[in-house]
Amino acid sequence: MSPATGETTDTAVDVENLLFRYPGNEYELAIPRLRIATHRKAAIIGPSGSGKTTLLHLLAGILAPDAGRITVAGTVLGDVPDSRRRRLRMERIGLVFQEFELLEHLSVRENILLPFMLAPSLGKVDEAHFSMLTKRTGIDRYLNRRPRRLSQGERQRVAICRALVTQPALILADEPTGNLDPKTTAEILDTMIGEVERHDATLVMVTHDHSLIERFDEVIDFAEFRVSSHAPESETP
Amino acid sequence: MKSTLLLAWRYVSYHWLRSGILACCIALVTFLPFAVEILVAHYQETLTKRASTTPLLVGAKGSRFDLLMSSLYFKGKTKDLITAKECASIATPDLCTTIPLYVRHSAKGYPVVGTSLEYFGFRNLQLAAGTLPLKLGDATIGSRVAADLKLSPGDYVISDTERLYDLAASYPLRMRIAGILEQSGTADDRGVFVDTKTAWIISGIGHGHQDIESNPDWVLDKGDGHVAGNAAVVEYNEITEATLESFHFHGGTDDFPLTAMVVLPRNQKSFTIVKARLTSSKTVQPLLPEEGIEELLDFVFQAKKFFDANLILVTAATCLFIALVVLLTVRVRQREIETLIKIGASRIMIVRLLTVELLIVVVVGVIFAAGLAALASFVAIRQGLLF
Repeated sequence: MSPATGETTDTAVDVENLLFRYPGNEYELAIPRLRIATHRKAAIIGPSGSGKTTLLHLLAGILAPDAGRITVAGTVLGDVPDSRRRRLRMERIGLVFQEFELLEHLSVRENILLPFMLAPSLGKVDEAHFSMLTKRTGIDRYLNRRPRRLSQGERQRVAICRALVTQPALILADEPTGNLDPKTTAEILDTMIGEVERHDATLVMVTHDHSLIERFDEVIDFAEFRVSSHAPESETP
Repeated sequence: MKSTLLLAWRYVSYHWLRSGILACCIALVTFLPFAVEILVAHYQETLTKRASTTPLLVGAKGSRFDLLMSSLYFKGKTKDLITAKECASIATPDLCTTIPLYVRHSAKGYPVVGTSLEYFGFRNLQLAAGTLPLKLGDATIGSRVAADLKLSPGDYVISDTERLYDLAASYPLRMRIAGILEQSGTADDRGVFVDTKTAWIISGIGHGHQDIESNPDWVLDKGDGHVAGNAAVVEYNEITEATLESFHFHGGTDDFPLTAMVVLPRNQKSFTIVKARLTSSKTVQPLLPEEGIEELLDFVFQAKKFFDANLILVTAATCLFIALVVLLTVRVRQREIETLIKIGASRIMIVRLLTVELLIVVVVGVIFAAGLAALASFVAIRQGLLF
């Protein structure tokens, strides 16, 4: 039992009576109940603008709900201050974005280690883990390169490594294969699922590609939730 | 902090052109104040040092600054002159030593300083080569003159023609370089030092020519005790062993002009007596160089105040420009900043990162400006733009 929440720790994500609105927008996301158990791989599908990315941001603590309760890795996000949510995001959550979001002025190595640079509380880099991670994902040869000199697939591998380098319990991936060709999509998905399984992490991935959902343990269809109108196009705050 | 510095440095160095332009803007704005500070400090030090080692100057009544600049730094000319006779009754040998100065002419653009041998001891000037100007027509030159004109002992330097179309004017004098002084870092480095008599010859007060009586065709008029030659008589423009005997002055040297006299009182009492006498003189004025320099520096610092006021405005404009650049940069980097926040960076961390980036650019700009100012000042000082 988690002392902070009373939830069992075999629940990675627990959402109850969630209600979220963007200020000045008619969009409203309402999720009565959503549970994802630890070590599971969940795919979130749904039409564009249905709030999939918004949910990921809510789970990551980047956005705060108007009502309801979100519990991630045993922590009730609404009960802790922003600094604690940020720390949780740094230490326990790994984020993978559709556009990779790599910093062009940093080398591949520095991009992967960016969380450690931003948060001294993460402590020292586990070099053995870093080495193993980059080797398995096949980017150990490009560590000193700039991201712009890599292919799309290689860039996404770097982004996956950045999400996993802190050995998080939860990976939130927002259409990580959205911009990739089918062959690269398959490779990236293999890499990501493989790494998630090796790390015993939980994966929550937004995807439009229905052909991928058979690789997941559970599928969350946003069509089931009440969405009063479309979320802003970028679905970002 | 180390990570912030690394991240900031990576950004600044990756966008080196953008950062470089911004650093150059900052450097250009900060260069001038740095250069002015260095030059004013040097100007002040040089002026004060030379003035403080000169206890008392005597010159003709008139502009104190002209007298000061001409006698101490060999810059410009005094309008009126004095004679040794005028000082003799005031600055008597029992009270002080006097050193004559006659600065009216130039050679290749460098001031010809007519003085006595005591001057070199007084200024503690050492010889790098050769001798002091012991003979009529000899010149001992400052290190700067020697370097610029590539002269060495035994070479010659010719005084400048000042009145090209005046047929009655004296001829330029060809002077033999007797010695070169060691570098002193003062106005003496740019002086061509000669005996006062040599300087008077350049002025035409003394001269040398062919023996008129040796050729009756050269005699224009012959009277009781004097012989006047005609234009056929050759006037010498160089003092050699052969022509030395022919050089002569008409009148007593005590009546010949001087720019100033350096007065070196024997003690404080002598100083007070001499100064009091000089103050009551109707023809000459005493000048305490240290006081004169203070007045001059007051003018310099008044002018600098205007410059400083202008600088405040320029600095304010630059700060606004930098603020605009930062605001635009933040807008351009919005996505990158959002990524950092999503990963977990706090807003304080983002502000710190942007601040350190800006600081790196500012520090590089300021260091560049300081280096440039030091170099420019060094060149200005070396080229003698000040003295």
